[in-house]
Amino acid sequence: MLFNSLEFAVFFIVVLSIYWLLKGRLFMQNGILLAASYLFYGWWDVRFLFLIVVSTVVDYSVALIIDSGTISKLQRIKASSFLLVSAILFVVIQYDSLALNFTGFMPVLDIQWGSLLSDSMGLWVFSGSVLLVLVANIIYPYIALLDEVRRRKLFLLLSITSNLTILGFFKYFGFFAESLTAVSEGLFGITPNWWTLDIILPVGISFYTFQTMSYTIDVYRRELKASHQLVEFATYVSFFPQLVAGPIERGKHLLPQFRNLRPSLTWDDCREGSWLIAWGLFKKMVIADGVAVVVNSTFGPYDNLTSGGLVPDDGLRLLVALYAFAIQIYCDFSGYTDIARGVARLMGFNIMLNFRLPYFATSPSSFWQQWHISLSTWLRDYLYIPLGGNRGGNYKTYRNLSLTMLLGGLWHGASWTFVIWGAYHGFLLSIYRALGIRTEKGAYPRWKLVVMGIVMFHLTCIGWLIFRAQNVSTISIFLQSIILSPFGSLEAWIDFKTLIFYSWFLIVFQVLQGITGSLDPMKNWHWFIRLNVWVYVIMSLLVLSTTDSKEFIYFAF
Amino acid sequence: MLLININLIKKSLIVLFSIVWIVVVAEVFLMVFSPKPMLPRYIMGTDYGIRGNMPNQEYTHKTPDYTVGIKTNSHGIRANQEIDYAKSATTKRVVVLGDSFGMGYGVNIEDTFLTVLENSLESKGIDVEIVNLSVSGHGNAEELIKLQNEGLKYSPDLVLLSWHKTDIDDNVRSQLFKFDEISGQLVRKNDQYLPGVKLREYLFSFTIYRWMAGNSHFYNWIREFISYNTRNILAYFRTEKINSNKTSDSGHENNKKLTVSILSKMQDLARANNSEFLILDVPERLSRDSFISRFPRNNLGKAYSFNVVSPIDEFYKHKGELLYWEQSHGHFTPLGCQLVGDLLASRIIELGIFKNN
Repeated sequence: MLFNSLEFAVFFIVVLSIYWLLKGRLFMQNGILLAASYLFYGWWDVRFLFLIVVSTVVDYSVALIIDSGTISKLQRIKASSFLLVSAILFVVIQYDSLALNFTGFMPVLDIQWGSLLSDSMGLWVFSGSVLLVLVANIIYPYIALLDEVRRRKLFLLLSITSNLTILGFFKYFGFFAESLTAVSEGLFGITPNWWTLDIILPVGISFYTFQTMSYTIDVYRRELKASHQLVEFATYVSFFPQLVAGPIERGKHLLPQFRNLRPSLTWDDCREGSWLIAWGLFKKMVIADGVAVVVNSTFGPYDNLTSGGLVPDDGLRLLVALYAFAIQIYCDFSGYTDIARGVARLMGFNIMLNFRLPYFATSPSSFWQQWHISLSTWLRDYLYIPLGGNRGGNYKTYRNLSLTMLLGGLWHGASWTFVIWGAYHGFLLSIYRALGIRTEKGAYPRWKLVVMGIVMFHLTCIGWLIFRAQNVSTISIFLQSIILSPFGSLEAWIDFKTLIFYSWFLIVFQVLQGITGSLDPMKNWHWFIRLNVWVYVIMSLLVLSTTDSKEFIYFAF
Repeated sequence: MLLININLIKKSLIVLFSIVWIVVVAEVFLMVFSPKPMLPRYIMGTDYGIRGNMPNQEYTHKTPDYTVGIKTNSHGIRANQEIDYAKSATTKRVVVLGDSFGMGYGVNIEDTFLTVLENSLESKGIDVEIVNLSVSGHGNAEELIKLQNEGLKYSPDLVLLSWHKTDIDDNVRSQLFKFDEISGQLVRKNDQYLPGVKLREYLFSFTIYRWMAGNSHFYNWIREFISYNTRNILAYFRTEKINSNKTSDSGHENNKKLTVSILSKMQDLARANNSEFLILDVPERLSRDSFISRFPRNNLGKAYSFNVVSPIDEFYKHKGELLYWEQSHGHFTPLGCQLVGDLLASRIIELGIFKNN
């Protein structure tokens, strides 16, 4: 289910109404959120809900054992039943005949219930679940015999391994198989006969696996108490506003919000929540989808370079396309986050900030403090610092930075261009550090900061070129043309006009955000100005947005 | 108490002002970022139960592509002059039936394909007079009634029908004709089909409304928005109905059959009154390079027994050029009209239509 679709609007209105009708009943409110989250995710592909359930049950149980060394009988029964019921549902739903039909306005969910154990996949899932439940319950009494340090480490390892196995299998299996084949052919002239699989990437897998891993690590570090309520924890893992494209929430921040009674909705909650939703939809449906025309018309021919067709090669047009992609990816991703935060806010939740004017960054480190903050802080806390961070001299710091960014690049997708993109950012971070360019406030005069901001924006754009390009030749042609023949054609001018047409309001608004130092400058504006901004945004959504719902780019990660 | 009332009045005034201001900002927004086509339709009911153009009107159609003046005479015909029912003995008369394409939306009167046709035939020595009875929104059912009640009064030598793909749906929607259950013959069903005409007539009696219809982007956007979504909802329920009966294919065939029967009746009526019958098949534009005919055809791919003129071949010779307006409702441009008018003239001569009369 996409945020920018009619079915989500209907879904959200219904969920929000029921949710607030249950005000004061915490368990029921969490329950309705869990059901809504599973419906939200299952709308896309109900099969992969089972992966979320596995991840939930494993991390729920593991965290309890890490935290207190025990898991009560009732908790074990709950966790086991949850897994087994999910496995049964996985088996009895006949997926081939499950279809979402959209005729006119009314979605029709056509589920036909199949026979138990109807196919081999169902058999594997069901027997695997039974086996997991049996083994876990049989070996449980022996866990108490382990000493605390060993037990905690062992179960942390179990959580990390299970999450990385799910992620690795569904996201990286094909990539590593192909890469090993290429290496084997190149070095030894042997083409290995791998067992290959055509695997669908489950939406949001990178987000929720990282979220659950951070939870068990925090429990292990004793920074967070393990959750005793299965429904509360399952809702935290699958909370629909941020399930498929983040922000990657920390247990420390989000879990307490599920534990405590929701306070009444305030006027500020309504104002900020609805503004975040409208602003996020505007960024996605008007700006990102609008400038996508420029991006696709220029990058498109490059995506099929091998077919030998003509590609646009005037430097100015390529530069405009690059700027357009920078705007597109920012608006697409931050738009999603804004909607997620707005939706959560209307339900009384506070989801973490994921973007803070990233294109105003003056250095690579400030860029990563402002872009996809939930991922960069995750990488910092669970990878960079455990690797040693900046302790241990320059060489080790550069190594840690590069390794962290390399893996950060790989997180985005199973492709070498993402690895190169990560390496590029690791390289930038190291260079800036080696040059001693400081990032703290007041280090440079304002004009110098502006220059540094412009330089950083263009360095970021080079990164986006690596990110967007489907092959290395595209990167090379783009850079050569932009630097050596920066001339424009009529198409460059038309593309530039389109880019400005869609993004001028964002630029003005962000400059105002930068000047006022507030991400919500509207709060302090006169109501009449706010009214005009609202009318502009709503009219843009109604008039300038495309009619079909386009997927968010970060769904692929 | 007094304080409360003052506050209440103040708040009410702010709300009222805000509503007015929102409309003003929306109007400016649309004018700057997304100008809307403003194509007011001056339509009224006729004595014979269908829609007709309001007589003696003069108004403007404005779109991002063009600004065009429309003038109707005392018979509601788009023309700069009056046309008597009686014709001179030497003049060949062409009565035209059609919708907005036939009426010449998108171009000034001197650029319509009918003026091009008239000039082209005149240049070949044929004294011809065009009587354009087209009304925007008409389907073939209304056109048949128009021919029966009005067209034949002009004693036409040729009845020219401008056929458009929307006619098939229009013929079903209007429910003016149906097949008799016993004889299977085409018979009149409803006496009248005047969708929204009363309301339109009422609204158009207000100067402010007439001004908005011809000048306000916001009004035209709202009207389009409501009309588009209403059509979608109605189409959804129609589709549901068809799907629930599992007769979608046969339903489509029945709709096509109804159209062909209406056209046949029109052709018979024209011929019974010593007139030829010719159909202009207005192609659907898929892109600047691609056009398609939606005219109903039999199993052999023939357009039944009709004389059909399709400008598709001419359009392909000019592919890539602007033949249809692209930012409004997709009517012909002057170039499109030129090609259609010239083709019609040469086909009329080729078929020897006026020699037989």
